[in-house]
Amino acid sequence: MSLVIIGLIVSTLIIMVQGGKEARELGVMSLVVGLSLESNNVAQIIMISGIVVLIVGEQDMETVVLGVMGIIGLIIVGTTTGLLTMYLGIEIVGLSFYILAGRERKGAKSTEAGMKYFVLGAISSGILLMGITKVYAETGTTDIELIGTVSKTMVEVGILFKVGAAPFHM
Amino acid sequence: MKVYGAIAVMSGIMVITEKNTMHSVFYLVLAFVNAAVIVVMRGVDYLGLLLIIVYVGAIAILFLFVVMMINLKEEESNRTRYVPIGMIIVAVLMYEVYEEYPKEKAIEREEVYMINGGETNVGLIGEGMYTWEQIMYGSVVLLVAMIGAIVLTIGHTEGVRRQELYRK
Repeated sequence: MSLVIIGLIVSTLIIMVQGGKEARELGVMSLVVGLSLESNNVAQIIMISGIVVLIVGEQDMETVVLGVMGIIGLIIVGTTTGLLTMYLGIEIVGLSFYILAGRERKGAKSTEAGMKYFVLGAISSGILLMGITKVYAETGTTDIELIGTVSKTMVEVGILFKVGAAPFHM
Repeated sequence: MKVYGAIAVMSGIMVITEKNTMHSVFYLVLAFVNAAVIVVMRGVDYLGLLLIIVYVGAIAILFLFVVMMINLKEEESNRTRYVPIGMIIVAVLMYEVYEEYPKEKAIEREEVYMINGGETNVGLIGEGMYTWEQIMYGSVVLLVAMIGAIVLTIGHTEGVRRQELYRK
């Protein structure tokens, strides 16, 4: 719960600095969502950081919608314990971010970035799915709390690569 | 089962070596049908029928439409350049699959029903989808894909009035 309060303070500060009607609306929305969600630390951190990024960034309707969809996917990844549900969440995040990367259709660099991101994401989700099937073949379950430590570490490393989280960002 | 597996692997190789794009789509259909036959022979009947309906009935037809619409020319490229890297990847993946391959006799089709505890495949899959995994998040994936297709193809023409929701 303290994390929620810290997040609220941070987003309020950013709203005060940024100003503007739309930023205020987004801030109010984030407060409502943050209070209504079940208090899970990972979900709170992910949601608050994502909304902060959204407020600071450009305000275009499609960008905001895709970003919010990506945040929904990250919340799914952070709150679930089933590996298949986690994979679906990662796919939601990936699809939104491929489109955000390749949105500028006129620019060659944006198109190239979207294409490369899509191919890399497809390969890494294939590898992740194969890892999940191997985990299921060895342990007979897809619950991340019931599988052994080595497989758990490998799957977690793969997921952190996929979402670009702190120790495995590049 | 080995015959069907061999046909599936051969048609998979033909998909990527065939020069005519239409022919590779047909080989893709052949590979899907063989995979479905193998799955049904192992006793997982619902999944096999789903493979045929979804992949052969929907996705391969979609591929055919795309191939007919974009009218690809036959291209002459140097494809043998990536063979060594591909062989290394294939070797690693084959080892991974071989490691998991059951050393004792494979499960027969009749035994599957006993292992399932009298439940049908459909019942077990449905129970799994809605109890210990939330597969209905797949609908969110489809929603994101739909929004993304619209975002990527929408055009901003001069003179056409468009809603700007943030300016309201």
